[in-house]
Amino acid sequence: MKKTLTAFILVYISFITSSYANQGLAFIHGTGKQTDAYNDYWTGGFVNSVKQGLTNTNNYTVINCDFDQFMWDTEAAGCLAQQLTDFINNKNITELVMLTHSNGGNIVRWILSNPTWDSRFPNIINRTTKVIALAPSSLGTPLADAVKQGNIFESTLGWILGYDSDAVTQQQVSWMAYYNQNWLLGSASRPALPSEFKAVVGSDVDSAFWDGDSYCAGYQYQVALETTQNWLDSCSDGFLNCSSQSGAGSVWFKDKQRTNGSEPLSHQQSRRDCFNLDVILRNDI
Amino acid sequence: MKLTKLSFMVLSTLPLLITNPSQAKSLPMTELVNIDAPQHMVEQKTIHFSQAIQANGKFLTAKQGYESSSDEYWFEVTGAQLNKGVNLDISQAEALIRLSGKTSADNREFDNNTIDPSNIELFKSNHKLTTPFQQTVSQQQLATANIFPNSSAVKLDKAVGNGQFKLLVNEKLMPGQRFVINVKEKNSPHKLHLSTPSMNYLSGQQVDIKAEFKHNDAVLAFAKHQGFIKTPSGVKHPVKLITSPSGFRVEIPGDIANEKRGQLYELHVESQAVDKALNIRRNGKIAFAVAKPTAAMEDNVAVESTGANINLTVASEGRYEISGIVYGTNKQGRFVPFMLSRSAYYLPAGEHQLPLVFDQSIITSSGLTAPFNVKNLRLMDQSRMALLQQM
Repeated sequence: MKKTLTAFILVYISFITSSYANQGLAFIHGTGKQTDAYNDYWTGGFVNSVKQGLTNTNNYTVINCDFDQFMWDTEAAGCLAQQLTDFINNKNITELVMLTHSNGGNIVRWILSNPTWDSRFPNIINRTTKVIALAPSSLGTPLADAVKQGNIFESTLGWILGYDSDAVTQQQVSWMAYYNQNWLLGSASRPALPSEFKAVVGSDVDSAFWDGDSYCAGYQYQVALETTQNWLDSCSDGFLNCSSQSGAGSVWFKDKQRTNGSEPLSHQQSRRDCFNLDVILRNDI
Repeated sequence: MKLTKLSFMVLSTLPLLITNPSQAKSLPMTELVNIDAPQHMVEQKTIHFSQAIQANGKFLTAKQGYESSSDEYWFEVTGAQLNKGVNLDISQAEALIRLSGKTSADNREFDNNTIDPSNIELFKSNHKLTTPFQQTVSQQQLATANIFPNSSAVKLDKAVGNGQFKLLVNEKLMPGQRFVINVKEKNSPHKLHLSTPSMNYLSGQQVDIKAEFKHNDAVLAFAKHQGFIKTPSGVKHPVKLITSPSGFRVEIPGDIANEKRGQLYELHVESQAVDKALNIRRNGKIAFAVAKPTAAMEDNVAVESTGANINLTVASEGRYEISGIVYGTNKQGRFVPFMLSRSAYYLPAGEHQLPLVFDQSIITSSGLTAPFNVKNLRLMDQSRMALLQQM
């Protein structure tokens, strides 16, 4: 009788808690300055499919910030913190799920790892239940190092290679090693992040022109990403090594384990509704 | 927020544990410096935050190093040199060569000058090779991924082999235009290995590095190394690699200041070695932080159930965070780590006695009791993004 009563109370408490929980979902883009990430970064097909996992499908936000800056900058983490705070306040969100892509995972990790940096951070951390990190660049990428080769100012002329944003600088491999050791949580031998951070890892690029799967998210991207594999490990998504994508938090799954047809997810495809990814995400929220 | 004398007396009546951290500080004490408060926006509010951590977790907060290996090299040439032909050392079959046009803030004429890969020719022993490339990648193809700007690439055919080649561009380039040539020799057994025991230095210290040119695991003798430091502003400072018992030691030039918050210095090493008559070139780099000692904490810390009391000397106004891994006592009387606590304060210059505040609800749910202890104490200058001390 006592056990039955206890079970009833636990179920009741669980019911009450879930009744009051108000879940929200934030789509957080990667490197770049976005003003319309809904259309330009994610596409409506992806956003509208994934948000179906919410009880209230209006409880979502698509972040638009300047992630060409270093992760700690006002335009990056500061902008993200403000947009998340507004979302939490306007929608009265009590359980926040963050869906990040690429360098967006690092900006989120900055907030989760540095609660005393900004008075807006603790409230966001306390409401975050999990982060689903699509292809996060947790350990940086050798491609960022390659882009920065020769980027040296000399006394008379300021010679640079283009695409030279602070975000690219930050994502060089040895730079991310320093930030992981000193400023970020969740990587090897560092304390865990205060909330779950689980990664979806892209492991290959399929660019055969006769294979229709190569065209999901655009064939022209695939050719470039296959080229960049020359700087990367055999396991990579064309932009990031699998080791980098797995470098913080936990690995939720590697693309081929869950995608339709065991198709790999290139770095472009891991933010689009390719190979049932959107449905897998929707079912987890 | 400064701890008042009264509240310190109240806290002092609680059971105390004085920690004497046995670990050496990774950043040695030096004279503190007084520098201006940063101009950028810095949080002013005092914030305390704790999170529960796994008892079996590893907390690598002590001095940490970094290792890298390189199977590539790069160098700069002009358009005139490319039109005439530049020598390339290739040590690995199927090497990939990337050519990136540099732009100049002072001369917009140099923008968007990309080499058409169909105009790239390769010579060996003065003979032009008829089918040297298995793949050519145009600027338009590379640009779709927004990764390499103003760039094209060619991948050498396997039959081309290795040795010294001449690469020539058979289209008229602007003579003063500058290009970066990057030779990537994926899967090469020849690698430049660089390592450093620490990525954190205080200004005035020396950087220790080990530089080894290896063929698989064998170190190649007589490799030549030269280096330079690239500052956060992108300025190049040639440095001397001074031989030391552990490898090389590099003096950080005293006249370079890090005015860019959070950005790192880089030590670049350019190396050459000869193996079985093959000339091999490699470039590598290691990033590291150089901090100014703006504050310091004493290593005697009084710990009680509400928090740890830290004595802090602040020489430069700014925002400082104290953090540590908190240990409680289990039923067997052993210390168990269970919480990461941080407290941050905006402080003027002077002496401060500040609490690192513990979260009481995490203590209660841990089931652990006093005495408590704090390890892995760290002092960060958040205003200037610098790790000042860890013990």
